Formats: sequence, C-alpha cells, structure tokens
Amino acid sequence: MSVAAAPYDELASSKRARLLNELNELTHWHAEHCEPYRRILSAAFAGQTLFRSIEELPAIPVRLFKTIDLVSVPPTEIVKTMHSSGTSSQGHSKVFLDMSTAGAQTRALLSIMKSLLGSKRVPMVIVDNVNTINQREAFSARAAAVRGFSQLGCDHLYLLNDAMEVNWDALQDFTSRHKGETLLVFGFTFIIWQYFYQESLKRGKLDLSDGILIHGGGWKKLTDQQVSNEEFKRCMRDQLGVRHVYNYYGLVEQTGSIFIECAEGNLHAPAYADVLIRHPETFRPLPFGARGLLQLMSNIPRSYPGHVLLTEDLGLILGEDDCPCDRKGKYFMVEGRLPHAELRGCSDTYQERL
Amino acid sequence: MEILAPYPSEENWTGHLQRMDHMRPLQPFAPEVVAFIAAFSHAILRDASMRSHPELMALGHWMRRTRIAEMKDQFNAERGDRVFLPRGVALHFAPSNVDSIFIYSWFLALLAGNLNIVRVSTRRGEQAMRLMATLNHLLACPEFAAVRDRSLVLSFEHEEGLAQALSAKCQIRVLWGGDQAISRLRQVPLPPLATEIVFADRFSFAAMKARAVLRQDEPGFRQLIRDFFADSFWFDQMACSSPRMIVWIGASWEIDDAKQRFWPALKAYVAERGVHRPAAASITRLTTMYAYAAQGEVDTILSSVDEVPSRAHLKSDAKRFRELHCGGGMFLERECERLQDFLPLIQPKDQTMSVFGFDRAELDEFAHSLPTRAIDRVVALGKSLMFSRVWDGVDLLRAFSRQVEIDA
Repeated sequence: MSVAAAPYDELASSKRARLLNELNELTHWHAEHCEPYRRILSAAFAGQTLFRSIEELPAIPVRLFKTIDLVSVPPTEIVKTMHSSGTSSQGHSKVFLDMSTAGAQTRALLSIMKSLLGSKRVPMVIVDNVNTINQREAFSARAAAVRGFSQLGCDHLYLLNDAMEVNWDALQDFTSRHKGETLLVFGFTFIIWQYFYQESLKRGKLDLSDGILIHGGGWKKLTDQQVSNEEFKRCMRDQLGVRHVYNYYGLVEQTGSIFIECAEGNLHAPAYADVLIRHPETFRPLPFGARGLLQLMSNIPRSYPGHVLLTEDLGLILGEDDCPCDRKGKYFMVEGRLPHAELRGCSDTYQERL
Repeated sequence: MEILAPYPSEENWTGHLQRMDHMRPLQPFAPEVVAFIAAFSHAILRDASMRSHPELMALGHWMRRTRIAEMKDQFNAERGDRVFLPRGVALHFAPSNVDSIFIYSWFLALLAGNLNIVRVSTRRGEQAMRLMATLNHLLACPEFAAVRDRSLVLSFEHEEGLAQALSAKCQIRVLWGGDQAISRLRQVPLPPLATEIVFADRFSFAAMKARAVLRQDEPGFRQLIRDFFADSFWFDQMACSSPRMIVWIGASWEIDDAKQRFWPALKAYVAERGVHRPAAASITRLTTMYAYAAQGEVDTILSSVDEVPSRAHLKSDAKRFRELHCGGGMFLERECERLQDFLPLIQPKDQTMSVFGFDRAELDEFAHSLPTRAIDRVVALGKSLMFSRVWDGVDLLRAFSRQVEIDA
C-alpha cells in the first residue's frame, strides 16, 4: 500500500512489521553515516543495528539534539537547519535536513492534512507575521510549521504585523471576499491565544464559522495560564465562531509526521509514525492506558538520526485501530512535560535570565 | 529582594546596610561570635528533624564549641605575636548546589571578625530554609545582638544593580559558583581597596587501590561502602568535591575483581538507603551518558540506564567529560597501573581526590608531582564533603583577615 495516499488506513498487524523494517533500516543507515550515533550504539548496544521489536530499538533522548550535532549526510547536502523554538536554558535543538528528507516531510504533512481538509486548497489565515517566516538564518520550528502548513492553503493572509498586532481590516476584507468558503486558520497555540483571541475580546465576537482552526506548538504557556484544550476550543467557538478546532502534536526533530487531533479529541499516529509509552524512571515500555514518557518513531528522518526519539513529554496511549473517528493506528493524549528537578549545579548562582 | 536574616526585621535592606556602616568589626574569635556559633551548632545537633539530613549534622559537628576552640588555638598559634584584624565587610555569593556552603563561608568570615552580607540563591533547597529558621531564632536573642547587627542574608535574582550596590560596600568579596556565574559576577566592579576570592566549578574523583579493596575484611569493606556513599550521594553528587570519576589503581586482574566486589555492594547499599530520585533524573542521566558516548568520551555504558549507581567506562584519551557530568549517582571509570600514571590526565578543574588504600609516602610523592593548579585536596574516602578552613588551596580564615605589620 502507499502510505502517502492513506495515512490512517493500515491496521496494527501490518503496520508493526512494516514500520519495524523501516526503522531497522534507518538505524543501520544512521550507524553507518553518523559517527556520534554509531558510538552510542557501540557503547550502549554493543554495536547492534538490527532489533526484533520497536520496543528494543535504541531511542535517542531529544535533549541530545541540544548538545550534539547529529547528522547523517555530508555537510554539502544540507539544505536547511531547523532550530527548536524552546526557551530552555539548555540551548536549542538543531536538525539538519537534506533535500530528500525535507521533501519527505512535506509529503507526509500534506497527506496527513488532506485527510482532514480534502485535497482542494482553501483560503488560509496564518496567525503570525510574515517576517517570522522570512528570517532565513534562524529557521525556527515555528517558521518551519508555518511554511509547511501554508502549502495547504491559498490566498494567504498573514494576520499579524511585526508588533504582533492583528490587522482587523485585512481580516474583515478576507472573510467577506471568501464568504461561504471553507477557511483554514493556522497558528501556534499560544500566539493564537495571546495575540488573536485575547485581542478580539476587546472588540467583540467574530464569525469565522466557515473556518477550520489548526494549531500546535505546545501547551506550556497556556497550561501556566490554566487553559486546557477543552477551554481553548470553547473560547475559539464562543469568541471566534470556529467550530472545528484541531490541535496537533509533533517535534521539530520529526517534522512532517505529526500527530493530529480527531473530532473525538484524540491524537493519531499516521502511517509514517508511531508512539510508545515508557516509564519515566526505568524506561520500561508501558501498556495502553498507563501514563509515562512518550517515545516517538518516524520513518522520515534520514539526514539525521531522529527516527526513534524519547521525549520529555508525558502522555498515555488510549487505544489502537479502534477510535470512533475511524482512523487506524494508535491514538493517544499528551499531558504536559516531565517536571524538571531544578538544576542545582554549581553553575546557577547567577544564571542569565531568559 | 528578600531579607532572609535577620528576620523579622523592622528595616528594609538599605536601612540595614546603612546601620552596618556604623558598626565596627569585631576582634577575631570574639566571645559573642564563638558563643553564637556554639549555640547554632547545639541547635542543629539537638533538633531531631535535622537528623534525616546528614549534611546538616556534618555542619553542626564542624562548628561544635570544642572544634571552634581548636580552630581558635590553631589560629592564635599561627599568628604568634603578629596582629591580625578583620578586613571589614565580607560579601558572599553562595552557590545553590550545596545549601550549607553559605554558612561555612559566612561563619569563617565572622570568626575572623568581619561584618557579613550573604547572597543566597533564590533556588535554595529545604535545608537552607531549615538553617535560616534556626539562625533567625538565635539572632533574635539579645545576647547575639552584636552578630545580628553585623549580618545580612539576602536573596535576590539576577539583579546587576544590587550586586553592584553590595559590592561597593565590601572589603572582600567571595564568589562561589559555576564558571559562567563567576565570569558575570567578576564584571561587577569592586572598590579599589577590596579584594576577592573565587571558588569556581570544580571536578572531583576517587582513586582506589584495587588490591586494598580486595583485601578489606567484611567490616572494613562495609565502612568503605558507607564512606563512598556519603561522599558521592549527599547533595545528589552535585557538590564540587563529590567524586564523579573512579580511578582504579592496580593490575588489570585486581581491578576486575575489585569492581566485582565493589559495585554490587554499593548498589545494594544505595537500595537499602533508598536514595530519592527526582522524576527527571533518569532521562538526564540517559542524555548525559549518550552525550559522553556520542562525543567519544566513553566506550562502554556499563549499567542499564535506570540503575543507580550508573557507570560508564572512559576512553583512555577522554578529557571533555568534566563539564557535562550531571550528578545523581553517575560514575565514570578508568584504570591506571600506578597512581603516578594518572598524573598526565589531571586537568586544572580537578579539585578533590579522595583516596582509598594508599600510604602517606605514595600520596606525598603524588602531591609533589602535581601539575599547575590542579588538585587542591587529597582526602581519605568519606571526607570529600567535609568542609575545611582551607578550601581550593585558600586558607579562608587568613583570607578574611588582614595583617597589620609592626616593625618598630
């Protein structure tokens, strides 16, 4: 089967074997082409590159991308370097892309989104400013997301100016121009909340009832403000009039093979990807329903060894192949991040404020 | 800005500072100071709730009345007929990794007779808060007014202006912290007549003679395990003097056998003691281990990732592992046939070598061959974390004093 055509059709019985093969092949590829990765396999797995199950595959902690450059292609083939937009004091992730990995990311994203939006391009409102996207030297996760998603739409409206203020006139103009058409509204969760939703409260309700809102980028700042996914959806509906709101979850280290929320509110693993839950301390694989660290697999990363990653996000798998939304594959929930013990090394007597 | 001591205080910190301007320093080992420290020691050792914190008990023992009296005698003997006076105002920037350091730094300056301003991290732990409560209780007593009027413990976050204002007041500044923190604080100007002592981030290790480990009888071996545990598990292996690397000395077959005896026993003891692990400790350790492997510093990760103690074997040319270490019960191992063979591998960052199984002559020979700067302490295993008035090669009591020369 062609996974690009049907990201949510494959049953577990077929997917497990197929994905394991692909991931084993990638493990072998990276061991041959990425010296630091090879050394990890050598020190921790006696050099093994063939594993009998997805659970046994070596998982690289995502934080390692912040301290070490991990790349599996010659420098001349790198066309893009992406950076995480995190605010952590431990630095930013760097993800190196060659033409073929970048292309595979785009194809995966488009096929996943088409299952939600259909294959016709729709008028699109991007809740961000155009300059975020154009800063070439620092290709942030946010910029990458906006660029990737913008390919789903047409007649793009960048809603915010450089000062992150909404261009209300342009929005008015845009909605009347596209009256009756399906609109795609896309942005980072926090940016939508802070710069669009909060500002709109000062002006009265909007009617974006033809809109489908897709947002991602993490809940940290909204959790700090005690805004849950349900609350977010309710606010979008009540204030902006958007009835279809979908969150997506993904790592900059696995761009493309994202996990998108269905109408039931569950995140779904597409055919390109899979998810596993591990105990936060022992890293033992946990059964469905148990809360733990999310490990994410993707068959896309070839220019860097990011195909099996252990995140610091907590969540649980709700089931596989049987979500009422009809999508096959595992579906899960993310429930925030592993609480970090405060770093209390010698080095933080007077650490720089971030 | 928060005043931690004296607390409660009717004054704000500027008021308190202004009043300190009019206070004269005390004489070295002034009776009020000695009594205050003895009372503090007594309060800690008597407090049942402190018992679960061996680090605090160690602090309490370090400043027992008899120990302070010994220190005084020693100080007087060294002084002879010379005149030692306090420098004036000592400003301390305490580290956040070891909650008791601020007390050691402050009390040694106090014993020398100085007025003290102490900046404590906003990320201080539970232990610091317990100590603070005990301190404030004593500072409120009328008989310790002389100490109260000469002390100010503050907590504030990254405020350059405050660091400047406080630095302008002092005659000696003491910086404890990581390299970045130290560089930043050193940018803050000091008055021309003030001086500075700096305790930057360091790395420590244990050297163990394999044969001695093997030859220990059971009680001796149990003691070795307890000593090693205290050195490396108090403060979650985050103190600068906590051993993070083990250098095994001996023939390779002896070393193999010694490891076989040592690690399972330590693991069992750690399990018995029930070391508390923060939720993120495992993933931090996994990341660090993989970073070591990826950078070619270690060739084998010897333990499963969730295991404490966790172990990795260093490559023979490894040298960039010191900064990356994350604490939390992680040990890097290497082997040398003789102690002398380890000399070329020493780095300036190396501070404490805790030792087991060597005789004094071997250690003397080793110490005399040390390279520039590195290794300031060679201590028996079990004493790594014991504070001493001589730290990183600096005699603090002397550094907090000035000598008035009389040549008449």
